[in-house]
Amino acid sequence: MAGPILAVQPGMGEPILILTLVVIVTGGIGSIRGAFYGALIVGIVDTIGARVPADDPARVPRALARAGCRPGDRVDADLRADGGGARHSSAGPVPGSQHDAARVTRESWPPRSIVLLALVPAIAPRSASLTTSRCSRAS
Amino acid sequence: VTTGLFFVQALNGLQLGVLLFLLAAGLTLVFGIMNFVNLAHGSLYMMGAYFGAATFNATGSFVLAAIVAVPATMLLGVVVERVALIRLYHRDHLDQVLATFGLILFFNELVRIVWGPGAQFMSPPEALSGSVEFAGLRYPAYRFAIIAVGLAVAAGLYVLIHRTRVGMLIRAGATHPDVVAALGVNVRRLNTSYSASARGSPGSPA
Repeated sequence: MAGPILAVQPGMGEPILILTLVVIVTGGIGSIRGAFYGALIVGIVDTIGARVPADDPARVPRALARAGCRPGDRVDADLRADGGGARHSSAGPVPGSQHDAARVTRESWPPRSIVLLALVPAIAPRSASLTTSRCSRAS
Repeated sequence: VTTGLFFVQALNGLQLGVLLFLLAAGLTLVFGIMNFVNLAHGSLYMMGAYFGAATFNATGSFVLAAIVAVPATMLLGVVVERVALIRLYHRDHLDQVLATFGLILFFNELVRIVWGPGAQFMSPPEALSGSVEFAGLRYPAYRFAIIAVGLAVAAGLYVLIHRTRVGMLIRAGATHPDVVAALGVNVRRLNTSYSASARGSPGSPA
């Protein structure tokens, strides 16, 4: 288990923003009660899902590289149990002890800016004029 | 290992969920009631964390850091709203997304300039630095504290939204803003007040 050291770094807002968008859509936009249940669902699913990456062989080397391992290093239970953040304690405190587990899977995502822009039609359902005008112009 | 690991992971998930709720509660109101797409919410969360870390590094007191971070973030939220967001309320969603996405880039560069590209560290107070043992499992006390604080905030929000007059107005404004405005409520001021608190909330998990 990583030590109780909290890390703060540039860009820490975007991963959590994307998860938050998922939460508020899951719970229904505008509903605080929905946000509560959505947050619990997304939090637990994200945590459990991030810790079971071994099905996809391509994802494991990336996760290991992220954790500072070289090919050939043994993957111990610590790495898998703690999302990779606590692999090398000799390297000093590892950034993001709180969300490193989630970050392991997020490695494989497309660039964040594209994700964010792709969210526009999804999170703005009321702006029908926006999406329809886009479509008509494209066709 | 399976059962113990499962419980630890469930607690980790609960902790992440509670953290997400603190952010989502503010953002869902901004989205749903003000109909405003604010992608800079996460950046304010980051700024709150940096305020906390900077205070911690200056004073060495975690409690003081927590006390400073929330109002500082709230103040920053008000400034950002006055400078940038207030011009966007009546524009369409694409403009809002582009502008607040620009704010994300702005704040990321700002913290790089001020604090450098590396991570800043802070440690929780002595009382929370240990771990709690229950049913043969050890779990960091600090994470328990996050869960407890988050659930307390959730309960407080529930009371605020469902038991007070302000909460009633917020709920009414969510469904029928025109009627609420016609009844003489200043929806804009209501929006400003709770969006300020919504933007202050991200600072708390710092």
